[in-house]
Amino acid sequence: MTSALELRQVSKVYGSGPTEVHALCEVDLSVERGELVAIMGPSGSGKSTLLTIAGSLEEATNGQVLVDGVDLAGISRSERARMRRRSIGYVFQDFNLLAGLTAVENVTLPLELDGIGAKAARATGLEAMEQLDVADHADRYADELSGGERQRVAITRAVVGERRLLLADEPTGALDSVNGEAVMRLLRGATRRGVAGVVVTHEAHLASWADRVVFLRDGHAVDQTVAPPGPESLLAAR
Amino acid sequence: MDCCRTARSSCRTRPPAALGAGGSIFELLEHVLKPVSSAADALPRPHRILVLAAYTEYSTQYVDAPEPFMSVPHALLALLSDAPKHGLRLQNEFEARTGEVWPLNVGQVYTTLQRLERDGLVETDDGDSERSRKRYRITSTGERELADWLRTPPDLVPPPRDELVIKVLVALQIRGIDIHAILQVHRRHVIETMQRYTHVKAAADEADTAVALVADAELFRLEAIIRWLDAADVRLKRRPTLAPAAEPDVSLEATDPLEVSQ
Repeated sequence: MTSALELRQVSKVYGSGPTEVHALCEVDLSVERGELVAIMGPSGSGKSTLLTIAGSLEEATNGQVLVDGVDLAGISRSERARMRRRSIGYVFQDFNLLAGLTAVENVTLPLELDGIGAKAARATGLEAMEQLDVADHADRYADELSGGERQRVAITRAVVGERRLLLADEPTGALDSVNGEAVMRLLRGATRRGVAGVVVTHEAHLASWADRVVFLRDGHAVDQTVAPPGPESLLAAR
Repeated sequence: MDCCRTARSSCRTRPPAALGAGGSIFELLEHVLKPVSSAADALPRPHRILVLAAYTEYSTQYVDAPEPFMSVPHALLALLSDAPKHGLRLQNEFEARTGEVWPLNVGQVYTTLQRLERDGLVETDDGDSERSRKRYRITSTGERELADWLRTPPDLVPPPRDELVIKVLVALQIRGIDIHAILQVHRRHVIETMQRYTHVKAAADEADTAVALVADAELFRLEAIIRWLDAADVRLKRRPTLAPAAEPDVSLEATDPLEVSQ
């Protein structure tokens, strides 16, 4: 089966000559539908670069990036833009909601930009908000919401419609640990409905919500977890 | 230097981990407790995994303590602070209020109540009657003791011989060893352990505060180890010339200002 996201030997080099910086070095990564993968690593290890390349916001210097089996280098700029609008959802640390719009208008914005009529977009948006339990806030303006509520709306916006890949860069931002956990529960819930999720975080207790944790160091994917599914292994070694 | 040419990437392609076992925490426990000794079989079922599982190799000050998690006398004082109660009711309330994470037998309850009575922290009007008929109430001394205990910080200073720290310090003495790879082995193992605690939390009812609190305590303790590993990684990267032992028989104390005590 085709992976929702596949990075094959992806490298990214910024600058040239003596100022050359190798942000990513021959990284392989596959993420399946229904899977939540966390990326951890120290500052400058390439976490955010990996996410922006996976989301087609930046191009790799070498290697292939496939979203739903489609090689991003093999399609036109406008096709990539359409893929970003339709298939890929982004969640940012600072939410990036538009203050002048209500919560549901923020959620439906990518749908309307993609040419879907306002009425149909609102219905789809409300359905997604109900799934993520934020429908109560639908008609409140973004700046009337708490930090935790804003991030839930932002996650809804990232998964609304036909999105198949969810990319989140430090999505818990300045939220406290319990609200941060709520965000991770939402991301996990979204992936359980068939979306593939990749979340960059430096907080281990949040990364532990992922099915798999990939470790980056100096641009290399050096390791990943192979946690058995259940908690029984907590006792198995005794 | 082109770092890609010297890549030590060991990121293996594996199938995604299967989802956590479904069902209730009770079902999880049924499965979880199978490999445990017969002594554990005698304990009540619910949520016990969190107590049993706390004995990981990364535990520090809690390991090997006979009653590591709870002051039973103070818990009983707390239960008596709202009304006088019989021993059996205290046992039931204790287990209910701790999410049944800490099993307590009725014998322990009566032994503890006797000590509390001897120390003037509880009293009973029922004289020499059978213990199950006695109703206990907290005294003013008991209330002061409870208030003081709640505000007394626990001992947060572990003995300075954390096994992981010792392993890393010893590794630094070995010529040619990849210390970052050693740190990563432990980082991955700790995160995998954290994933299992998170699975327990995710499988429990979100309203089950007791499970969440116990799991959080373990998660944040383990996260502190991750932070130490991360800091060690950065420190050792900035100090690449940190010398391994020049001679094979040089002792630890002779090579680094950090003292290692066993």
